[in-house]
Amino acid sequence: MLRNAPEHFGHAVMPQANHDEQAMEDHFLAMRAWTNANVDPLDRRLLDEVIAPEVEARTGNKPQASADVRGALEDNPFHQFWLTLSLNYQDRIWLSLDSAIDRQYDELAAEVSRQTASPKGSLRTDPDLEIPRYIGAFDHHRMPGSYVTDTADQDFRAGALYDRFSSTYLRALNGGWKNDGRGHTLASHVIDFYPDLNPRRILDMGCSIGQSTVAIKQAFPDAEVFAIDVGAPMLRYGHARAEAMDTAIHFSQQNAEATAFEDGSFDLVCSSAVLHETSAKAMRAIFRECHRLLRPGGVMCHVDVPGRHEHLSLWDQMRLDFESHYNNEPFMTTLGRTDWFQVALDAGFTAEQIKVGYRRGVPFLKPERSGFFTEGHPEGRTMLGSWYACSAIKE
Amino acid sequence: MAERTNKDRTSRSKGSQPVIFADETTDALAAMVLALLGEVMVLKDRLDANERLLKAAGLHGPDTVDAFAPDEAARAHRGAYRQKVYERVLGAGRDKLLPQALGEQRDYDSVLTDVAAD
Repeated sequence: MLRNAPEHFGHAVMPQANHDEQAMEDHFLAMRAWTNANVDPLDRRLLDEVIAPEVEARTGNKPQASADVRGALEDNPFHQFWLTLSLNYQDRIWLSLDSAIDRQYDELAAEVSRQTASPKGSLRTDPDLEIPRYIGAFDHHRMPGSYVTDTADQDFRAGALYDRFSSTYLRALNGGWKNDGRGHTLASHVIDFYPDLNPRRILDMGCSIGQSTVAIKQAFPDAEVFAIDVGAPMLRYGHARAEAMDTAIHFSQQNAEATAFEDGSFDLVCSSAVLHETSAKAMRAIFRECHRLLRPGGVMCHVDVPGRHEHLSLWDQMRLDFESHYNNEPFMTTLGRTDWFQVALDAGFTAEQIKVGYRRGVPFLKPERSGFFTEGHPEGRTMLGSWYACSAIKE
Repeated sequence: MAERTNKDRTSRSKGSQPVIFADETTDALAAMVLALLGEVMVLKDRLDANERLLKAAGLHGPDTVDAFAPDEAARAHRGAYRQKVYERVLGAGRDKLLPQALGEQRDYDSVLTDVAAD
């Protein structure tokens, strides 16, 4: 197999790029960086200095929320330029990476088989699992086929695509090829607030390909770690990936809203960047399921995207709305307005035991209280590099 | 060779398919221009790689390339990659203009409201 991209050497089942495939990835990444540096600031000024004053003059009210300016902004040709750059990047990078996976599919299939021949962990899929509408009705982040489409017998394509994409998209921002910053951040949060927990059994919900799960297992090496997701091709790939990284994880295809595990059977139940891909109803069900699964004294911990509407400027609100309106993440902008504390309270956790706030992202275990804070950015910018966290002890 | 299925499902994403500019044709043109930018960048990188490799090997330069006439195998090779380039560049426009894509944005708008309020 070609090994010409050091940042993607990673593990044995990571799809690799030939010269032109790597050049196309580099182009997508560089074009996005150029857009972020050169177009985003102007689009922000367009909104603040042109569109918002126009809306205020027309309506007599100073716009408070992104919904107040959406129509006027989307009619503006410069913002249309911003939108088209964002959308085309997102649509075409997937197809580019997918064609590279097609080229090496058989080679990868052989590697997946080899890595899982005598596993330390396990994998159980459930072909009868009902895929929830918030996953099945559209393709999250415009990833064609999403997490659930099989393109072959024992398919792993969705997982391979997601792995290559996430390590490209977030190349230096979330742990490089491991894309495991959220896992280290979550474990740091847990050890910071619950240093005596010493979890023996851990469940990672919505584990995708187990990028965060592997980091969590590294933080708690003596724990038995279980990981669930609704996407079979994600789990097949994640199983092979974990084995290739010499990490014992027990994967099974389950819906986090209602799992098959017994009451009180876990010390730590967690999720990383999962909630924003669910729905309001599912989020409440997942928190209740966490409460059911924890033993008394056990801990629930979720980390997710950092956008909080109450802390965001108009442009940053719009940037978050973009994910819902156009990037097939319908719940993301609603999650940014949801009171997580209340959801945890309604799920059975007691007020004194619930922590909600930002946790600064870390690329390795760093359990420090200074990494936790509740104030937003002074200029209303999105807290990129941090994650919004909610944790609670079951009494 | 593994038999691959569901290619229709993985050829484009299901969900939001907005029209950004005045109409879908303008969007298609923008998509093709942006796709071409990618092709040009890859091509530049490939030429750059070639020039550096050749220089390192003490081999031919630009004049030899000017005089080069592709044989049948080279023409077949070029014909094959051209199809892939057309798929990436012109396919970007085609995917924007498919009637299915236009209907899907309306469907997505309704599911967005439902799921967000679910």
